[in-house]
Amino acid sequence: MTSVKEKLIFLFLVIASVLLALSIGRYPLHPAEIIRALINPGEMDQTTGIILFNLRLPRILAAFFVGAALSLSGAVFQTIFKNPMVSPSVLGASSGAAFGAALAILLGLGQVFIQFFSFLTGLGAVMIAVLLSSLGKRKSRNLLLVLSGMLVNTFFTSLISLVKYVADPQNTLPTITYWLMGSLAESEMHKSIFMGVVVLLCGTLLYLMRWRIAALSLGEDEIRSLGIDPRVYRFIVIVCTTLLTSAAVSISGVIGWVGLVVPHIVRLWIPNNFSRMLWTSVFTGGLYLLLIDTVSRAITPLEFPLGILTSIIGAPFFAYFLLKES
Amino acid sequence: MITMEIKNLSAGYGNKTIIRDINFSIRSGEILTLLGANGQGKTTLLKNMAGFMKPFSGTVSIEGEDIRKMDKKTLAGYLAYVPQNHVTGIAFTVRDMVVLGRIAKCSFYASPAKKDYEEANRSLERLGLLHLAEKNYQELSGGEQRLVLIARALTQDTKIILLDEPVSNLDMGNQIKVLKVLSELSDKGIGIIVSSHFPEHSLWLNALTVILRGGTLTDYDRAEKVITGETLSDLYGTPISVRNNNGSRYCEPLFVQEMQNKFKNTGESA
Repeated sequence: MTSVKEKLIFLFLVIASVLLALSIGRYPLHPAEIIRALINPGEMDQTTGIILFNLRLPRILAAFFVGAALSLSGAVFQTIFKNPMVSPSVLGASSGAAFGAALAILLGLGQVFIQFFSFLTGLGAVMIAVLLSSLGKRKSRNLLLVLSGMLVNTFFTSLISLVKYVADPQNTLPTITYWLMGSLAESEMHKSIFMGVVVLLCGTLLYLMRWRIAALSLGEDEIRSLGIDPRVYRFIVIVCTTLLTSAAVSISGVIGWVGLVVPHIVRLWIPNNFSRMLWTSVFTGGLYLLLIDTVSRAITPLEFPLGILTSIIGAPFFAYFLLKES
Repeated sequence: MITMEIKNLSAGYGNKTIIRDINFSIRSGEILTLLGANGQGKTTLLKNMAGFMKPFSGTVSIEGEDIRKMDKKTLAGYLAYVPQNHVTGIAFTVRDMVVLGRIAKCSFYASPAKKDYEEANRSLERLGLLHLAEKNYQELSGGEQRLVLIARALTQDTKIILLDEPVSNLDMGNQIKVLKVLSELSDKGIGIIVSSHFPEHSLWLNALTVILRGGTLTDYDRAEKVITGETLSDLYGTPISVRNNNGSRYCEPLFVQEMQNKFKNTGESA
C-alpha cells in the first residue's frame, strides 16, 4: 500500500514539474494559463501553442526520459556488477554513441543521421565488449566484462579525439565539442517520442524481471544453484541498458553523473527493497534531469551544456546527501 | 529416498587434473563430510557435485541421471547449495534472501508472491530465525548468515543440500548450532554433504566420511572407522591421536601433550 502511495506522490511530482517547466522560460507563462490552454486548445493563441508544444514539451519529455533512462541503467548495472561505482557507460555505450555522433557531424550529416549513427555505434561498442569478454573463461566473466568495457571505452574515446583532430576547427570542431557536452536544445517531438518508447519498453522489461536482476547480484555459482541461468538474464539486462544508454546519448549527447550518482543516492534511501529502488531511480533520474534542464533554461538565455550543469549543480547537492546518510 | 552417485570422477582446471577417479555415493537422509587438507581437491569435488564444473571424465548422477545433462531447474529441485563466502551487490532483507530459494519455480517476470513468502517464513521458523526476517542480511553475524542460507536451501525444498565449509569463521557456539541443524535435517530425510576442516565434527555426527589426499579418495566409510590417529596425522602432516571417552570421540594433537610437558617442567623449575 505504501508503495502505491509513493507511486502517486511521484506521479504528482512529475505532473507538477512538467507544468512548472512548461511555464518557465524566456517567455513566461502562468501555470493556470497552461492548464487552460491544455483543456481548451482551440482558444490558445498561436505563439503560446508553438512555445508549449513545439519548443518546451519535446524538451521536457526528452529531459525526463533521458534522466530516467540513465538512472535506470545505472541502478541495474550497479546491481549486476556488484559495484556502486559503475555507471551506464561502463561497457562502452556512451563513448561508442558519442563517437558515432562525432563522426556523423564530421561527415556533415543531418540531425536524423547523427542520432541514428550514434545509436548504432553505441550498440556496437557494447557488442564488442561483450564478445571480447565471452572469449575468456567463465569463472571471472563479470570482471572480464568490466575490463573489456574499459578497453572499448578507451578505444572509442581515442577515436573521438581522432575525429576532433581532423575536424575543421572553424565550425565542425566546435559543433562536435558542444554536442559531446550534452544538450537538449535540439529536442524535437520525434526524438522525445523515440526516447519515450525505448524507456517504456526497456523499462517495463527490466521492471518485470526485477527479481531475477536482484538475484544476479549474488555469486555466479550461487545463482546457478538456485536454478536459473545467470548468462541469459545478464544478456537481456545488458541489451536493455545498452538500448537505453545509446538512445539517451543519441538525442542528448553525453550527460554524465546522472547514471552514476542518482541510483547511488536512491540506494541510500531504500537500502533493501530492490523493486522500490528500481522505480524510484527511474523517477528520481527523470525529475533530476528535468530540474537541471529547466534551471539551465531559466538562468541564462545562452544554452548552457547540460553535462556541465548536472555535475556543477549535482555535486554539492549529492555531497550533502552522501554525508547525511552515511 | 534418492541416491547421488559419483562415478570415476576426474576434474580440474585447464589441463591440470585436481581430483582423480573418485567413486562414492550418498542417499538422502545421510550426512557425508569431505575431509582433506588445503589444496587436496575438496572444493573441486564439491563444485563438481553441485554441477558448477564440467568434469574431465566420469559422472555425478542423481537417481541415475547425469547432473550435467539436467536442466538447471531440475537440478535445483534435487540439490541446494550453501556457499561459504557471500558478497551481494545489493542489500537483501533476511526474508528476501530466503525467498530466493523459490525463484526457479516462478516465472521469468514474477516477483515473490504471498505463497512464496509463506514458504520462506516456514523455513525461517524451522530454524528459529523468524525474528530476524525483517533484518538486513548483511548486518547479521556470521553464524546467523550461515543459518539464513541454510533456510534458503530449505525453501528450495530439495532432497540434498551441499554446504561449503559451513562452520568456518564461526565461533564455537554457532558451530554447534549449525551442526545441530544439519543433524536435524538429516533426520527429516535430507541428504547433507559438507566439506569441512574439522574431523571431530564428522565423529560427532557419525557421518559418512570421504577423505581426499592428493586428489584421490583414500578412505570412505563411517567417521569412527575412517578417522584414526594414523589417518589424521598423515592427512594434516602433524601427529594427532583420536581419543575415545566412553564412546564420545575427540582429536588430540601431540602438541597438546608437548605443551602439558612444557608447563609441567617450568612448574617444577620454578
